[in-house]
Amino acid sequence: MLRAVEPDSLLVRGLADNPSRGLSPALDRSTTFENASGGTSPYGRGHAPVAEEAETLLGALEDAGAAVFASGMTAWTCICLAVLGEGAALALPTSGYYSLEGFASEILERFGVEVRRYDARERNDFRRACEGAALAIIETPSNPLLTLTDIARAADDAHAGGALLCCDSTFATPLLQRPLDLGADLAWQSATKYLAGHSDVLAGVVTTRDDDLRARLVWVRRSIGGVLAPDPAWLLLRGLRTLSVRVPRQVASAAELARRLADHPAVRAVHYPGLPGHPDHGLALRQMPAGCGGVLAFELPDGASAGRCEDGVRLARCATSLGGFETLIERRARTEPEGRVPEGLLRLSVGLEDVDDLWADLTQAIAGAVARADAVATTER
Amino acid sequence: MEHDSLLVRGLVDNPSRGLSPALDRSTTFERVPGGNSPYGRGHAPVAAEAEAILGRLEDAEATLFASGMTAWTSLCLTVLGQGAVLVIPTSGYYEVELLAANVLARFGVEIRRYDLRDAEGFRRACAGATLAVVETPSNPTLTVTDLAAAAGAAQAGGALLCCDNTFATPLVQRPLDLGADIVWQSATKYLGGHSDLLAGVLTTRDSALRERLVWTRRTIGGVLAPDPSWLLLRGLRTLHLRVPRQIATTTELARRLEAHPDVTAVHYPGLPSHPEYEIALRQMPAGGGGVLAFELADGATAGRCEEAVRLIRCATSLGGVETLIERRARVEPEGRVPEGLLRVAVGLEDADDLWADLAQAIESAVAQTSAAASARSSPAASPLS
Repeated sequence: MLRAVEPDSLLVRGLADNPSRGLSPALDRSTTFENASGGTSPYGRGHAPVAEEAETLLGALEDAGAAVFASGMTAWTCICLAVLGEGAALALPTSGYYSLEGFASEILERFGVEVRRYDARERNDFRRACEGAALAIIETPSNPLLTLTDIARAADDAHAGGALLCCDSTFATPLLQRPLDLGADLAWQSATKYLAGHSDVLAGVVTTRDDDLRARLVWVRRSIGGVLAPDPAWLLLRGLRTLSVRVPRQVASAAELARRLADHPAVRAVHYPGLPGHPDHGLALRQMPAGCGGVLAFELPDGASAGRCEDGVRLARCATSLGGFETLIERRARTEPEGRVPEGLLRLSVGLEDVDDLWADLTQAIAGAVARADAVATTER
Repeated sequence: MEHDSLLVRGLVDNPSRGLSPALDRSTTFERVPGGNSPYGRGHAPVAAEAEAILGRLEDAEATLFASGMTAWTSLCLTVLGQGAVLVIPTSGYYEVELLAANVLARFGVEIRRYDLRDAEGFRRACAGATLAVVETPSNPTLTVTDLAAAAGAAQAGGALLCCDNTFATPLVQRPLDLGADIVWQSATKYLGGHSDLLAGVLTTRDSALRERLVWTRRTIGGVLAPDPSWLLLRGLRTLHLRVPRQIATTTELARRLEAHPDVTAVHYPGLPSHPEYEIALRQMPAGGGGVLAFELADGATAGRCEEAVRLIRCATSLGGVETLIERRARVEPEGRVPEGLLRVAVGLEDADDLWADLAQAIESAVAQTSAAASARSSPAASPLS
């Protein structure tokens, strides 16, 4: 009956009661448990009560079964090990979270997996890549250009080719987007980001309505030890309590900052699906009606000014990652393989600070970056 | 600095000058000027502290993982590939078999299995192989393998040799000194020591290999989280007291079990009756470890024994502060271990208390078995007679 309540209530109440009757979940670190009469003794790689509380809750959020892992990449690794094999084909986007490319080219290909790379902007490219493939992955909104993919259409295309569709929904969260409702077989998130929400937990989550598939994922997770440890699992649970107030606040601030940046004379481009000028704005209104997330990207004239800008912030922090309570800025060309993103692109993960304070910080950082560019140009002349 | 002092002092100072290590849970760090911003999958300061100590213990570099199986998986993903050959024992930790048969084989890895007691079979299996794993002492029959010989055989075949050193620990056995390329341990066991953290460690003196392992670990997210890292550090402080105490108690219990009329076999490298006793004396001069196995007449008796203990706990795992007993045929794939075999991981309790508990549990189990046999052989008298 509890599953019929709104996400806000579900997240607050949880689905498991502490046998102590305490309102805070138990934190059980046991790696081994006494043998149940006639049964076996559970072991930490296969029995993780705190992590199970978190995954029950995350599953309920999507009306599905969930499995949590030691990190987002651990979750992805388990999906690949469960579903692929030598001779199997994987469809992977050419631009998106770059760690997937590293895993594919440095590990999967060595184990006989055929990796087919597709351009996420070209539907036919995706369809071709899915023909006879075992697994296809889409990422929407994508990192760091915030492009959207039509999940329902991608699911049709993947299934037509015989492939399972996995959707990386990290930037959206289940509050803004439920890929399983649109036909995806697997929804994948780095819970490190919005779900845990406090930049103090590495974790990954996969949701699916296919019980067999979930059972295989859990088997692989046990086999490779990819479980989420009790302490981060407990912190993830704690973070989930405020997910329904953090995300809408971050979305509102991101939308406002995107609008102001779009009007800023020194800003070349802004990438945020909530802006009317965004190429996927129409899809955004349909697929993410509650909001387009808390991450945006904007471009300054070149890499040098973008670099000065990220070093010039005082309230926002210059660090990687996203989704936490603090606003983060990062020049992505610095961290991604060369040529993948524009040199002057800055990714902004909006946090919970006052939006006007954030705007004041951004404008002074942009002003400082551009002023020094002018000064450099002047001295060069 | 002796190991005892190393474990106590550690190798990293807390910037606060506090004597307890900092517990930093940050998943992201501000960008270093001129550099990048570290991320939790690649930068884990608490785990790094533990790695420094574990590496020094073996005069090597250590890499920590989320669990023992994560460490093993990372090694496999790093050195194997389609067409590569992996050499594993037919008896030993069964999860190695499960990963090989159910995952690695599907990705084109050729799996060759050898009998732990067949050195020639091992040598043959290593010919042209990529990676071979030995486990000594092994789980759960405590078979001991001559490591130097195994290293020679692996090298001759072109294979890397990985030694599962979980049952021994670096205080008792240093496989790298004997020619192994990589040492693997489930740190969940003795190193963590308190049954409250999952972790795995690989040590090697091959820096290039270590770099590749670290890359794989970062890519698959197999890092050890901050809290279990901190608890592992805490557990290491007493490793040099716990392990010798556990060895002493285990040796004593093994002797008493060997003399027990209802015990059909005892497996412990520290007993002169052990088939590889001479090798154990050379390879593990500090003792045969803290795990022994003994056999009762059959599975049913062994099952009753494990349920009858009161001080000892009936649970899986090993190496922690509490003594554990487990009938292994119940948990391992069928046919791998004798039905009547009980594995005992000895803890820190008083040896005589433990003996009293074992003795009463065995007595109770045997009595129940006899009673059951009598009932079967003497059908109940008719109520009319």
